[in-house]
Amino acid sequence: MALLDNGKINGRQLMVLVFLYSVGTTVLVIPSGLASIAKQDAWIGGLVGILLGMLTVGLYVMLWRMYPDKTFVGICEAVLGRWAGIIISLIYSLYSFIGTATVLFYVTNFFQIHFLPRTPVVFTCILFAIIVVMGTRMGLESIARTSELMLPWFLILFFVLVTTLTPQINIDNMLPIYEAGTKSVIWAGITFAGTAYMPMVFLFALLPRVQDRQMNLARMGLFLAALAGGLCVVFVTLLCIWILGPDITMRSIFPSYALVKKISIGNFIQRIEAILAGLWFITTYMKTTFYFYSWVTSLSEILRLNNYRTLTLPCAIMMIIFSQIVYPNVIYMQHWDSIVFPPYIIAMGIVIPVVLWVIGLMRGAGKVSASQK
Amino acid sequence: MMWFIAGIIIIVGFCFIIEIPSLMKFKKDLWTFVVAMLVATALSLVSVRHVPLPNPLDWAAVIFEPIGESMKRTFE
Repeated sequence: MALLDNGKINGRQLMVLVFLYSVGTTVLVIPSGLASIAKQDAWIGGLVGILLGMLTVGLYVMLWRMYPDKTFVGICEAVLGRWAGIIISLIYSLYSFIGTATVLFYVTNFFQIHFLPRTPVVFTCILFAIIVVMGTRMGLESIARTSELMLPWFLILFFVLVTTLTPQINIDNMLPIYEAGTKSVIWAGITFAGTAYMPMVFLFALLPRVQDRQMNLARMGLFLAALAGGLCVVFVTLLCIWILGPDITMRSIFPSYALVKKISIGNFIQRIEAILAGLWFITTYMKTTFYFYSWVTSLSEILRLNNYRTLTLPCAIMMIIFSQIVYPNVIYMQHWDSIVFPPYIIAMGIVIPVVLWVIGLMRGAGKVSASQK
Repeated sequence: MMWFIAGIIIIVGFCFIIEIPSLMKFKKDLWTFVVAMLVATALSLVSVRHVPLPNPLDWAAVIFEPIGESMKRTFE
């Protein structure tokens, strides 16, 4: 099966992508979810989440080693045969479709609440969708280079965020430590891993395009980048707990933005949150683009099209329409995200890859590719 | 309302103008594009008139909500 996108990326670009992708929308919403489960121990939940996430990434790396030149759709067909493979691939593409619509909703909701309250939300949605579609149509190499260009900006803004907030830290907010208990912390960890790491299953759309002289190093880089992204999010959660306190953190929809509003240096440098919001624009752009990319490429691989760009425009229109209806209101959103989302993403992010890996192992797929080397 | 519908038709026409010339060589791609575009247009016309569309998150909730509830109960 010929690959639909001829673009190639190297190991370093993959690391940058994975880093921005795992920070993604996670940093915007997860501190609130963690704090509502584990109160001031939210950061411990985050650390547990990183631990679970590393196991998840390990699973993906094993699956990637087994089928180094196949996308998720290709793996499904190789492992399960044509028809069963197509059914699983269709579910996978439905998942990435839902992912695109919900992430786009998050972005436009964020815009509407904090920046453009009087603009009809569908227009911000269309504007954001246009740059996502542009990136996707230009291909993987362009997105990878964009992410490399954006990384220094992300790091600068993150550095500014941390240094300007340091004077306001109040350590007492995190006491007493480990009050929530083991069960809550584990549940918080599952939520964290589900939001930050399990969506990485959608990166199987681009893993076969990674070309590096040292593939093992590139695979290690995946761990490193995922770890760094998770630590960034945990650190932001910790800042939220330290500065806002667990109560305000769990009540805000976008606690990390509420956090940035607190920046005040000598009553002189204030209200720089609109600049720091660049952090979230960069990471959510990467996340939306890869969900969209994964949706469009998997769908066109199932349909055996000549080029995935055929589907980008109609799919973009559908993405905009469905981003308007996926979450009818905030109550629905919080209920869905806290109750339905964890088992939903575990089914696609853990159960199906494990099944594919085990069946692949029984068929001896790993040995074949090892002997070819 | 009329303006929205006119806008949708203009956008759809624009998409056709961009995409069709490069697809003339590939019949299968061309037909997939036309069908997908018609579905997208129909969906957008329907959503402009505020007809409730099925929400895919509800489908997921049918299967995963009971599992999620029991998971949450286990951990609290």
